Amino acid sequence: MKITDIIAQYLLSKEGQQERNQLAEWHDDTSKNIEIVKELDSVWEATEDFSDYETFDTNAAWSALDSKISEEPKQPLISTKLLAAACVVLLAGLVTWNLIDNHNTSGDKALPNHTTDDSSMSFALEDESRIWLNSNSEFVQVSDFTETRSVSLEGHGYFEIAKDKKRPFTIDTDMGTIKVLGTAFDLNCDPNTFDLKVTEGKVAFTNKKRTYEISANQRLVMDNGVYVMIDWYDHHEADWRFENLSFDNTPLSEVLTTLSTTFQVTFDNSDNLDLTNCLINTKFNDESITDILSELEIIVNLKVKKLSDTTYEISSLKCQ
Amino acid sequence: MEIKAKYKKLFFEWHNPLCNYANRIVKDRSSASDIVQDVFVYVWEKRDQLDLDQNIKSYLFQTTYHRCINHLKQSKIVPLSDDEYKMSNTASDEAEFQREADIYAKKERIIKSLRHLPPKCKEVFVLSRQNGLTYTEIAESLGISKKTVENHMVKALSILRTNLKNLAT
Repeated sequence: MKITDIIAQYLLSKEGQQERNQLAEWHDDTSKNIEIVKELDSVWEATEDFSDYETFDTNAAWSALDSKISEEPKQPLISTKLLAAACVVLLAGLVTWNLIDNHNTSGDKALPNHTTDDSSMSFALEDESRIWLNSNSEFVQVSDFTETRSVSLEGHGYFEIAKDKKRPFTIDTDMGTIKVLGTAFDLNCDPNTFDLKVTEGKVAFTNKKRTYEISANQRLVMDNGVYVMIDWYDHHEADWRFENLSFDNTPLSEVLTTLSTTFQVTFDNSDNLDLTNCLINTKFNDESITDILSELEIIVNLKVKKLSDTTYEISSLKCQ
Repeated sequence: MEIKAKYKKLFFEWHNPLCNYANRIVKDRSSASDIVQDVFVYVWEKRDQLDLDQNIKSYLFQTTYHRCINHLKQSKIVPLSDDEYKMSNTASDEAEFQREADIYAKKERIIKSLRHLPPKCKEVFVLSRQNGLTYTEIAESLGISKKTVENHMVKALSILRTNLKNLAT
């Protein structure tokens, strides 16, 4: 029936339930459609000319700025206590994992920031928490972890947070703050998305209105502005972190760091090979650590010897 | 949150928008970058007087603006005539800088959303909206059908609509 006929019927017989329902439905649909047209119009207009909007290297700028303000004598940002603690961490790292030696030679205390474009990456924080960052995401460590462990995320990440009751781990998102003690979870968030899936432990999410507690096998998702808590058992949904590893002119030292956190293995670089000048360009899709190391052996003539299920010794490297 | 954490959050939120704003005034990418870096050093030095919890975006834009003007004066560069940047201090009240901050925050949000599009989708969308190519020209340039180009555009618009909700607010 044409909408004019329905309106006419409705006006002629205001008692007609069917016409009233149809009219309400049409009205709702129309309002939604008008809203969609408005939003699309806004997007169309907003994306018209962006040729003059550039991307500056915020990470590099922060590193430079951080070094500069950290030198300031007025209020030292890094206490002697923290420096001592950092040395302890470094020494422990030297014993357990020689790669750190190649990675942290400058003594630069810049806090880590990571941004991904089309590929994903993984890395470890100084508290031994492990983070996997999916494509098109931005991770920023906003505190130096002395009293609190504070980071922010825009995009998609998987977190394995090391337990430390004295220093709660918090993640700032556009929607609110997540607080954890020791747990593992998958988090996807941007200005319009919030999807938190907990695999281990418990997580508290606080927004302007209230706090939600989400335990293992639960998921808190925002649907049309409303937060919904549901059961979540399909942990394979968080397997994206093992599926696509992409390296684009990435130093071998970083590649091995990524493999180390992804596959939970360690590399023994007793020969002190210089891994920073060896750049890797390759992609691995859902491949085992054995296959990946075999490929690295071919690409850069890296000799890898398996010492145990979780330890590999590397030697003899020839970069092109 | 400790002050350094607040400061870092502020930096990551506003660094790129401020660099673009400065670049628009001084028309030099490297100088714009340096100016914004100096602004943030200044903010750090003033951290005891500034409340980093409060909305200080207009302050950041105002400080950047004045430093850009000083840079142009010191460099004896005559700024290019630009209706939006008449260098006679017309943009001097807080409301004006608040407006600039909102404009650049919006641009930043859009550019981030564009960056989050799937690669092919992004390529097609940019060729259409930024380079002004027709669907036929895009199809020829990428070696795909016109229908595929249309599908990418629909997908891009759909993703952007979701990600850019409440853009006007």
